[in-house]
Amino acid sequence: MEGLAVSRAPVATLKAFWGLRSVFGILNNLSIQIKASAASAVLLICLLGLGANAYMTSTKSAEGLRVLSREIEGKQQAVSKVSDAIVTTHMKIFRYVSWASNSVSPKLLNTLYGQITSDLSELSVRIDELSRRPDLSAEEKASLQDITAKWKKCISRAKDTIDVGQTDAAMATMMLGQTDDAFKAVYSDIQKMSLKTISAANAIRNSLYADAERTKKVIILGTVLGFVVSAFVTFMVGASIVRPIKSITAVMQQLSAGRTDVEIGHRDRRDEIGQMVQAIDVFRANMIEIHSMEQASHQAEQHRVAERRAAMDELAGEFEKSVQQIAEELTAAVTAMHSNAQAMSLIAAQTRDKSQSTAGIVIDTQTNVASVADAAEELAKSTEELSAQTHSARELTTKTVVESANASANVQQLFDAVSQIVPITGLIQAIARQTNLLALNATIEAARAGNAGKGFAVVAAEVKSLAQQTAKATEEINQKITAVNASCGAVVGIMEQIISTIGRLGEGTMEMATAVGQQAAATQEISKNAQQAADGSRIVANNIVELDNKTRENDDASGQTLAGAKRLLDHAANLQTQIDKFLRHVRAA
Amino acid sequence: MRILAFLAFAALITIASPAPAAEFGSKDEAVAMVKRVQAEFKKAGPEATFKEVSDKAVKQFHDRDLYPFVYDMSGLSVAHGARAALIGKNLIDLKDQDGKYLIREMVAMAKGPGSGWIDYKWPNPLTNKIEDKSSYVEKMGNYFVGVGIYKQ
Repeated sequence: MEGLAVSRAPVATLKAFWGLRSVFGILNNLSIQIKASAASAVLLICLLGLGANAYMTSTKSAEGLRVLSREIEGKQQAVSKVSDAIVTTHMKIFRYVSWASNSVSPKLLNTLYGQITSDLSELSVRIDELSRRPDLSAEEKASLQDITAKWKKCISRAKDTIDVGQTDAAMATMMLGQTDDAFKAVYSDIQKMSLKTISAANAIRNSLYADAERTKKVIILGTVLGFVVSAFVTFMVGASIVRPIKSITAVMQQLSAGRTDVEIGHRDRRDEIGQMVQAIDVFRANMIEIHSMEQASHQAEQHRVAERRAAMDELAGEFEKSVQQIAEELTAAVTAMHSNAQAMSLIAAQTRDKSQSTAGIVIDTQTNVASVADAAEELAKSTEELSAQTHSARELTTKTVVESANASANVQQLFDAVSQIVPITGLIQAIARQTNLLALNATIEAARAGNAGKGFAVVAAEVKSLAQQTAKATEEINQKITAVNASCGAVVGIMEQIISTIGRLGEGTMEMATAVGQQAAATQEISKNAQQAADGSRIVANNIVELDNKTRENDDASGQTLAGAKRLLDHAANLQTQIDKFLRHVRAA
Repeated sequence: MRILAFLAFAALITIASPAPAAEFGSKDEAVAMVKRVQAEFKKAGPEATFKEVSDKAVKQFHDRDLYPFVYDMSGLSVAHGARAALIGKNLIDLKDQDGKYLIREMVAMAKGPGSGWIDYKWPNPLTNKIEDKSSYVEKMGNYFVGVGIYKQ
């Protein structure tokens, strides 16, 4: 701004010197195109003005000359001819009266008479022609109407005079006065018309002359004015364009040489130069800015890079922290999931093993129960046999006395047979206990298996109940066996008595038969129960197999879960690796 | 009135008796001739009267230098006792050597007072010289009739 004030001073001085501040002010705000065409415009305007003036003047002159040469002069000639003819005819009438009064020969008088008549007719035609001219003014037309009327009177007077003159010269002389008047009236009007025509022609001539003079002046003035003004405008425009462009060129050269402290000037102009100055100003400001930016650039860039790096690091740190945390949580979760899956898989495997072993046990139980049933059936058969034998014994009681020894032996055999049942019932009891235990175990496993194990839980409960019933029945068998053993003991004792007391043998045999019958019924009951236990065991076995299958499926599922957990773990690890990689990149950037 | 009556009477006598043999006609004779024209005009009508006036053989209208002339009110000569060439010509603008519009004056006289004397210059038919003349003019229907004397 200090530079601006300094550079404005010479411009202001220049303006003050020229005293054309306002002109420069206006010029400076006009576009260069307008300025460039200003001088031409001035010349063009002068040319147009001169051309228009010349055109109008020449048109007017041509019209004036046309009127002058064709209309006025023609009219003037016609009027002059009429005027001359009137004078001539008038003279002839005088001559005629003079000749008539002075005894000129009638032949000559007649000739003159003919001439006058012919002259009058010719004049009538000429006046008629004159009044028919198309170039007459209204005044002239009215005047000619008047002249025509007067001319008619004039002809009448003239003819009267020469007519009278043919015979009465004295009277014709008398009549010359009125003829004279009539001719004078027409002649005076014609003369007036002629004068008017002449004055009109003179007016046109004067006008043409004045126009020519004025045109001459206008052309001289216009040419001089156009020359001076266009020269002035050219100079002003040149000053307004060339000077600032020169100074701006110098400024731009300095700018291109790198000198940014140069003053541009011409800031208050609103034309293209003003715009150019604004553009150069912007350009210079940019240069200055670029320069200062270049200077500050290095450390600023370093600082900025460091800041950016720190920010990036911080960002990466925060990111890492949060992502790490998430990843760690994810890994932990996945690990936990994996371990859970492993545990589940283990439990599944255990369940499978257990269900397999349970199946085995159940199958064994089934086998055992079947064998119990078989044994029970055998027992029943034996009991039936015993019954039959007891029956035969009762029948043979009578004969048994003899055969009591054999009978004693048979009882002994029976005792032995019954004694052999005891271990079997013990085995049955053991199996029942085992079954009960297994059923309990199965119930627990079923409960653990959830919905899938519900059906199995019912079966297990039934197995358990059957095992309990088996235990109960076996207990009863044991009791019966004990009773049989006691009975056998008693039979042995009684046998010994039988030998002595055959009489009471039948009765004893009867009691035994009843006991055997009871035993047979009990045995049948055992057999039936054992059969039922076998059936229940088979159902249990089937269910156990089904359970085993389910457990296997469960095992597979848990295996798949474990595999999924493993893959998830791998993905978590991969994610961790990728994040590390990303962060390394971010930090490196 | 008495004078007029006397004049009329004298005129009648003049008509009745042959003219005395003076060289030129007098004013009274001129007036008497006007009266005769008037009487003829009333009696025979315009055509016959004009014919008689123009016919030099009709003695009552042609006596030495006395002759009648008849114009209509536009100045058209309809009958002339001395100059037949003038019949049919309009002489309203006629001027004598002094520039006097004599016919206009006569028209004015006829239209105005109806009769009277007018002095002017006119060619004498007897000498064919332009002389001072004094004419008595009187209105006659749509015309006027006049008879003049030449003053030597």
